[in-house]
Amino acid sequence: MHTILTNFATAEATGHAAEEASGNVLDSLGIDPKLFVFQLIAFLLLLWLLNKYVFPVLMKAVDERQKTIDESLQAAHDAEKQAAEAEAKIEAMLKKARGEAADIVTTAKDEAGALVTKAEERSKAQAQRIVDDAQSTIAKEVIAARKALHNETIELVAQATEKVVGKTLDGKIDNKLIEASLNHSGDKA
Amino acid sequence: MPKLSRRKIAEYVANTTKDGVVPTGVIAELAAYLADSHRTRELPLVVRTIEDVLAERGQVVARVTTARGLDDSIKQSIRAQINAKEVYFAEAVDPSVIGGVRVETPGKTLDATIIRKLNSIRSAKAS
Repeated sequence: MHTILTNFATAEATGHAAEEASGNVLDSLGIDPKLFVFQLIAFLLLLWLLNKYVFPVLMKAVDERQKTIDESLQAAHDAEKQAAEAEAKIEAMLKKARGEAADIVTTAKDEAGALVTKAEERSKAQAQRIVDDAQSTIAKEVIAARKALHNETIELVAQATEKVVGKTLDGKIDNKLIEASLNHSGDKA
Repeated sequence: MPKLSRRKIAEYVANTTKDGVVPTGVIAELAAYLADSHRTRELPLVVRTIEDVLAERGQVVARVTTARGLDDSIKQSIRAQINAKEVYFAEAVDPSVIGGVRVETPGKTLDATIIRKLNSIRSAKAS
């Protein structure tokens, strides 16, 4: 810095004469040559500092940001692609599932129909068996009732005969009956 | 006391029988013997054996059961049926037979009673 200021002072001393000559032009434009030089140097210095320390950092940040954006875009693109693939896959799976579901429904309907048919056949057979059993039971009961009626009739006839004959049979008829029995027995012998 | 067989007892009693009647003394003897030898339970069998022995000798005891008693014509018919030298009647009146006659002789039975016929109808019931 010291060197710069020294050089500047020297340059200022040597150029003082030239300034005298050209001073009129710059003055007419309202420019202070010294200030102009100084500002130019400061500008260059600033430019150098910025280029040395600030711009790289900013550019790095911008580059990183750009990279992040690019990656994000790529990720978004990939995600979109994956989503499309997933959607296609899901669509295919849904289609397959619908097909399988249709098959299952068809199979279930067939099996249900077969079950219903089988159950109907079984029910008919069971109903027929019940009817047969009932008819058999009824027939047996009818036979038993007939037998019971027959027996009861015989018993009633026997009882009635016993009472009627006991009351109406007198000695004379009894003797005739005995004679007839003895004769019948004699014929047999 | 030796144990006598029913046959011997029956032959002894049959030998003493006259006109189908056993003397009272023989009956007492028989009763005493059976009581003494503890064989009173055999009395019905002894009586049957006596009847058998008498039947072998042509003297048949006919047990006749009727509802109203026997008259002579019936007795004659029974005699004719039995066809023995002598027939003795042991009569019994049983109103439960209703009518007809039941004649039991040694080895034979004729049941022509009304109750027997009714019972045979009853027994013919369908099972």
